[in-house]
Amino acid sequence: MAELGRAALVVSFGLAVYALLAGVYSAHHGRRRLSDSARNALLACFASTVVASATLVQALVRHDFSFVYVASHTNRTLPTVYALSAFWGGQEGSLLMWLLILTGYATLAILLNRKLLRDLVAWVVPVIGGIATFFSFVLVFVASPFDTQTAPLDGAGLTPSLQNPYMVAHPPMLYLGYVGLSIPFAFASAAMLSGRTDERWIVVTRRWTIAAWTFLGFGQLLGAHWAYVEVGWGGYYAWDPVENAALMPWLAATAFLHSVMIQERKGMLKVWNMILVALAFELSVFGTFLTRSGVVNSIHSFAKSSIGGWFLAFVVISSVFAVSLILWRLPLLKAKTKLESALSREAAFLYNNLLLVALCLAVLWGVLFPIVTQLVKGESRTMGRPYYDFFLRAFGLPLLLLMGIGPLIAWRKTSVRSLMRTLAWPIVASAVAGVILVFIGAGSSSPGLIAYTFSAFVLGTIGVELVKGTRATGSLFLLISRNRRRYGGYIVHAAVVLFAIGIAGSSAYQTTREIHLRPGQTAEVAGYRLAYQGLDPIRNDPNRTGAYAVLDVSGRWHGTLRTGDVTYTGFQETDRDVGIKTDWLRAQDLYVIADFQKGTPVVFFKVLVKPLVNLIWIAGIVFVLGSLVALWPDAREQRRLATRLAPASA
Amino acid sequence: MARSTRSPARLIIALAVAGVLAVFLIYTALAGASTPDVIPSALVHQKPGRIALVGTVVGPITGGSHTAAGLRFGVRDIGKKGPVVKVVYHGDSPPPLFAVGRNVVVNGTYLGGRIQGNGILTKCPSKYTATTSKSY
Repeated sequence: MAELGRAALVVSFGLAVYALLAGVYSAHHGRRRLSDSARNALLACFASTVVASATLVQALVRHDFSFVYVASHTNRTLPTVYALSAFWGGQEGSLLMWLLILTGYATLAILLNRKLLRDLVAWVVPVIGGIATFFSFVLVFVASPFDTQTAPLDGAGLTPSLQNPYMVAHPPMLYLGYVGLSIPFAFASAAMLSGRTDERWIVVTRRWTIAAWTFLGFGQLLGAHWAYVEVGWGGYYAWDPVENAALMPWLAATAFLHSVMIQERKGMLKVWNMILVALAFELSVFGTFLTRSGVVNSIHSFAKSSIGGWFLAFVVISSVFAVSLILWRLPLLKAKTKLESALSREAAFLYNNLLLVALCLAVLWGVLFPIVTQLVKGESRTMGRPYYDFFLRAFGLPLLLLMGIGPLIAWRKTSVRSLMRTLAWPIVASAVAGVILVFIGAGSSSPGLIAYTFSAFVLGTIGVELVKGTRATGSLFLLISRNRRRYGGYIVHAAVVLFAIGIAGSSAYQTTREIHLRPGQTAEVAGYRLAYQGLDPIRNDPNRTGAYAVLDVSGRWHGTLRTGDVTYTGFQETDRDVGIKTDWLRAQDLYVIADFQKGTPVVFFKVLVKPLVNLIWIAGIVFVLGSLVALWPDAREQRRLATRLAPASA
Repeated sequence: MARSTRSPARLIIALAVAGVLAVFLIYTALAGASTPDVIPSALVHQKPGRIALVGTVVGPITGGSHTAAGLRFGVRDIGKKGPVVKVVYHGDSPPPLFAVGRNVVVNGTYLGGRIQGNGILTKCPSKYTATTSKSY
């Protein structure tokens, strides 16, 4: 079977190369039949990649340990769902998944647009063919998932802490996001290569960008939740380079999603949009380089491998390609109109973009800093959490405020008086919220208080918009369904507000106490009375050894919490199971981590009370809901789109 | 809708903002917000101060992080037989994966040839990693 997988990958590589070369030649010389042939080669590339993927899936399900990859990432006792998830768990499999998603997306994008946008698609094919060539090359020549060996009796298995549903969903979500950013990049490049730099590529790729952005955002939240419930350190984001690798393209894509509206409506920011779409794509590939090359020190364990250099080369080549295209087409990317006022919706979007890109670059600078200092000073230095927290506050809080102002400000220009009249209710809402927050003690953290006040302001603006719109249409449902993009955006904004409240609450207002207790002793933390009952060893379990500390909790909540260390048979590593009680009524978590001391019955407990942390996870659901509303097909919009695109493509 | 007249104002503003930000970032970065990453074999050249020691845990591990004497262990270069640096660690419980042979980052202060640690990171199994080639 491995031969079939290998052969399918070689075919994928050949077809991708053909799509690249024939695509470039045919698009450049206007050879329609050859162009169709290149397009079909890319579709066939997807088919052969499906064959390769199916071969690997079958080997994983059948525990075929003659595949080195299968033996390295699964064993016979592994449940089928985790055996399947090993497909994207290892390096070679994840690369295959990347190629599968890329060619799958390409197939869909080409089939959906081949008639309306023939001239653009002719150039999209070689661009995606080029990306597919790189990935299939790496899979065929550098990191094949189809290497074979004499089959051992059993495989190495999967680290227990990764046998978690979040870890089944988290990586593919990120891949769907990373790879999804290739499609707008390909269309943007095609627009420049074909010289048709009007708004069509943006209109066509809007949903692709939103989908990729949603996957990337939701994937990060899944990873954060896994860290929170499984890793047992009490946090959910550590500003680690590997985590930042997913955040950076998401920030760039967020900026792009906002600025394309200005180009669609006003014909402005054309160069900026090209830069953003290229930046988002390059950062998605750069993220893979970061995680695979080992050039920066990360707490995440990714096996160092030889593919880092290949990815760096690809990032450099594709960046040079993108920058050259933009410079070449600068004359075609001139704005149709100019910014008329610093107080306008266009200007608000521009400020939003500058802040998002500044935050993205601040994170990038933090990630690259060890490399830069090594090169410049001969000493690698790492940026700590204070650096990232500082820039999150410096750029994130103004962004939060702009999220409220932007949608309410008029296009072209407005006056301060008019703006204040529009924002009167939200300002009142935020002022009232601020006073109440100070009164209940939230003034202990200035950033927290500002975040909450700004959040109230944004929620106020969303409320005003919904009330106004509902009055005009007579129905909230009608209002949203008639302008899904706009109101889907508002729902996403509401999700960001929930997210901000959750982060501010769980970081600025968190209570942390370290206590040590003997059996029978009690302690009180933030209204919770914790009585340590003693150890409960794990008995009669062939797969696990260890013990749990049992705590009876009273006060704000009554019940039992168990937290302890568990060692899994066959894996000489310990998992720390944390005790978490979510108090929905007070919107906070009681989070307890036990630390057993050898030779003494005393147990050290780290107790955290994390207010509003669950809003972060709820925000994820609202975020997806808002994105779905924005993505949902709209017959009226489709008709508008067809009218808009038809004359240009005729 | 006004037609575009060539005005460099916006570009200048954008470049100015970007320039200010760049200077700000570089200034902040170089002004001491960072910590040097040091491997044990390079400590001989290191001045006393805050560092992040990157290496592999060497036993014996004695004491406890909550005791006055602290948790004591050694760290050497990853994958090498270099010098072992002594670490005395006080603070939160070390992560559950902390053990002899693990790759760790110890945050703390370098003074008098040893590290006074106040934070330990062990590599997190972020990827499905075979037990035959553990790298935490």
